[in-house]
Amino acid sequence: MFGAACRADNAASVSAATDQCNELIPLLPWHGESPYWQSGQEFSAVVDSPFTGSSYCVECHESLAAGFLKTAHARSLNDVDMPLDRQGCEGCHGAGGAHAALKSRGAVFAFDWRDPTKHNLICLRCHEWLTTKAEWEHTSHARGGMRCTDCHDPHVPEDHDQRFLLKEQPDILCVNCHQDIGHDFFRMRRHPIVLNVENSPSARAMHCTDCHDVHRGGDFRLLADGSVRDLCLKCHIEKDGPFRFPHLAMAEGIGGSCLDCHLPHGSDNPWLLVADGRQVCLQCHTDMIDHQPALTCWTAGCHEQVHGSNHNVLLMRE
Amino acid sequence: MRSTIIAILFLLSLSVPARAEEWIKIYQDGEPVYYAVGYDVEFVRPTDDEIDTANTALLDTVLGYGPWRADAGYGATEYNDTVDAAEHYGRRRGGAFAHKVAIRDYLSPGDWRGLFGDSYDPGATYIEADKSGPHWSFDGAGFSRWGYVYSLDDQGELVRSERRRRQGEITWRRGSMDGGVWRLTGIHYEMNVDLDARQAADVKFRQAGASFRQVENGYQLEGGVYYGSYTSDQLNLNNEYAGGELSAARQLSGDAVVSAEVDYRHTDAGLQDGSVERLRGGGQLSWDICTDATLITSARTCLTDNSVSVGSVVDGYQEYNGLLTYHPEPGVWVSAGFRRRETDLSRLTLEDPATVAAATTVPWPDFNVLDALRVDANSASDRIELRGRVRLKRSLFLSGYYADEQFDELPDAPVYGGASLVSSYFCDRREQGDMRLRWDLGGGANVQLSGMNQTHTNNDRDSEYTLRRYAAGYSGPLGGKWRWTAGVSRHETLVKLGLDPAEESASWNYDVSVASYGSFADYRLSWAHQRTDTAPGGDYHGLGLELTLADWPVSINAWYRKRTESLNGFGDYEDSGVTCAYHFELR
Repeated sequence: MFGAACRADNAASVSAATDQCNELIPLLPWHGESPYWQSGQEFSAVVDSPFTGSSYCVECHESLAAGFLKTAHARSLNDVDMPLDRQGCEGCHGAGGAHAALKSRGAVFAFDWRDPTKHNLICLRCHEWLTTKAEWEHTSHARGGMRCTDCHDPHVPEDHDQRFLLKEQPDILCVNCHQDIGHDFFRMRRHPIVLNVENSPSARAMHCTDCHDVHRGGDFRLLADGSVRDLCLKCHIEKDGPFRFPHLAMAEGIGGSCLDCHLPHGSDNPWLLVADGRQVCLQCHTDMIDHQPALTCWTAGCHEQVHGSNHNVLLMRE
Repeated sequence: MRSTIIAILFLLSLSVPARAEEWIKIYQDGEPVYYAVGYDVEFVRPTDDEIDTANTALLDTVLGYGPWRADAGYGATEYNDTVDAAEHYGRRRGGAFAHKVAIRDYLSPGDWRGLFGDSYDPGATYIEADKSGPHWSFDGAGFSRWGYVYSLDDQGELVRSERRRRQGEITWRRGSMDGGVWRLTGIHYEMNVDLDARQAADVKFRQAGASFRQVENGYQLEGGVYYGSYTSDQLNLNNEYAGGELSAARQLSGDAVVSAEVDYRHTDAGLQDGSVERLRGGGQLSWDICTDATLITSARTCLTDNSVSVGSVVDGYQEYNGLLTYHPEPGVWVSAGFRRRETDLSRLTLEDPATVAAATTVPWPDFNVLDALRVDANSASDRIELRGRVRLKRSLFLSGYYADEQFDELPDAPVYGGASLVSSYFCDRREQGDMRLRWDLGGGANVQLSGMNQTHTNNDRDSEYTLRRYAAGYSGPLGGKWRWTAGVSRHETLVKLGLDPAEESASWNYDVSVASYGSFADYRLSWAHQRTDTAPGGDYHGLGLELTLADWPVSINAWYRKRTESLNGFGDYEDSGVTCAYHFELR
């Protein structure tokens, strides 16, 4: 399928090297801590290994190439302004000349390092615009020992995701590890992320990444914004007022802000509340223990504007 | 003539394959290490132009290979209830629909466009679209969701109101890996609610912005500006806002990063004839003390000038943070953090009947009149945080978290129209802890156990709020072509006054999801059940099946859901349905 793109005059050299393959493989270390590229060096596992272009790789790795060539990474092949050490297969695996000749796994970056930092540094050569090494290493994902390739498959990504190279559909990918959060999306109410079949006919409206910056969220929850309140207000901006009579519990700087009353992923209670009915309010307003509204404090026609009111100091509507 | 011969000889020398010695040098941890090969190895050395030409030709071979597929079908839904409630799930399919739409076009090797989404009806649609070249991209996403909200009218009768939400978001990005990235963004969101809806509020929100990020040679600069507006009839809002943010970071000598950030936002409240200004700033130093330990210290401040709100507001706060992380080996890291936060507040003197009278006078008195009736208050707290993750065995991970925040100062609370102040409504101690155990069983299977406890204590009021959540789950293969996940979780909430529980609720959630990929068909089955133990209770049952035939491009989806809520009955419903879709795949 891709053979036409590979020049015939070089094929002889490649096949000659293939014949020597069995003899050469034991000579190079290819398990465990294989050769490691360091910033500032030539991008190669073998000193003075030449770049050959991806057409040589396709000769042996056709099945990987079939998927890879449809990914966003493959588009670097068409960019003549891009240096060779950032194009195609060699953009990640290093100069392929020695590997093509020796057919040895150790002659190329085979991503079999135990230390996840080494994997990630290869990706960060080009993706610093997304996250720097320092930013990534402060995330809880990095501290959990994650590698970029735990979520991204540069060769054969999930069926429709050639752009972001994800291994699974967004959101489902997250709950594979974050199972306890995944359970929350089986609850009666949740933010509109669709994970399970009995609700899958509903159109989704969100992804996990709308709230979580998985690459450089500085907070241990990987929040995409500095504070929970700012994050919620990105969509629910009307809750910010400013109201003539705001609810102080919503303020930033004194309490838990939105999370004092709401569970962001899923809840058994209406409006994603932490508890049912007036229980939410009794967290703080303990002096209202004998005050029994007909339904809840806000649906009984009284404190309807719980986030803040422009009408009434007791957060009533009128 | 002589120079021509030299040039030809030079070009010929380039085309001759270089010969390596009988050994090769490999970079191992940055140092060249010699490995014997035993015979000469020829490295082919094509020229840069030859590589570029071959690479482009290679990419041309896949043009037109993108997916172009969708499921289109017809579905029927049965609601066995007078309340046609789809509030929390969006509308269900009924009639014609299209979903799992996925179109990817390769216009040229460097130029892509794509369209993805689902559409069940105009009130339940989600679309993502993108178009991109090598150094730019355009992304758009949007959804519409129509549903209902329920409330009581002045006579105490149940009122159902329609709520319609639409959102559209676009981003244009330009940049490259070697330079910076620029983004232009725009967002429009509107939620329209019938005017008789009591608790839900309408909003129309628009924002446009520009931002950039530049990372180069150890420097990092990010910033952005934005302008937007939002209005709400129910909440009496007609506001405009604008702001900007800038942050910079500098890598110092390889083991330290110093950074600073500032953001400013100005909001004009048109109907309230006032404005709010907020200025936040901070600095941070991250220092790798050694290869195993990192210390991060930071300070942040926030100042607010609010000429709209006359109730209790936060005027500003200062934070001082420290975080020490110890990471002795890849499988272990622990961290300890500390935060001191001091907050300045203003509060309305509602213990003064004159203030109450003024605050409830319609039309409202001037801001300055009520502002003069406010007093300053303060809050201060210290927070410690411990966190750790340990690999106990090769595939067994334990992680834990504990945080304790204690307030040594809190604002007193006024009693509405009362003569004196009472203890603060805010709790004086917040504790949270969780523990997670994850066991990777191989083959993609894993077991997870987690527990979380969150307690807010108000010692002066002798009250306590507790939230506990426990979860256990398994995900993994079940036989050759089966994969299943199962989970159970427990959620408890408890409010105590003194020693007595004042309010409590607890529920169990169970969920099972099974997927199988066979030669006859692929199917996914999910089941969820929730049982609330305490009054007011509620139960939920959900069962769904998705069946895709292997040799026939047809998929069938069936579901049944039932929800009862004894609290108010607003959310009671039962629905079931079945759909049949034909799978189109053009390429």
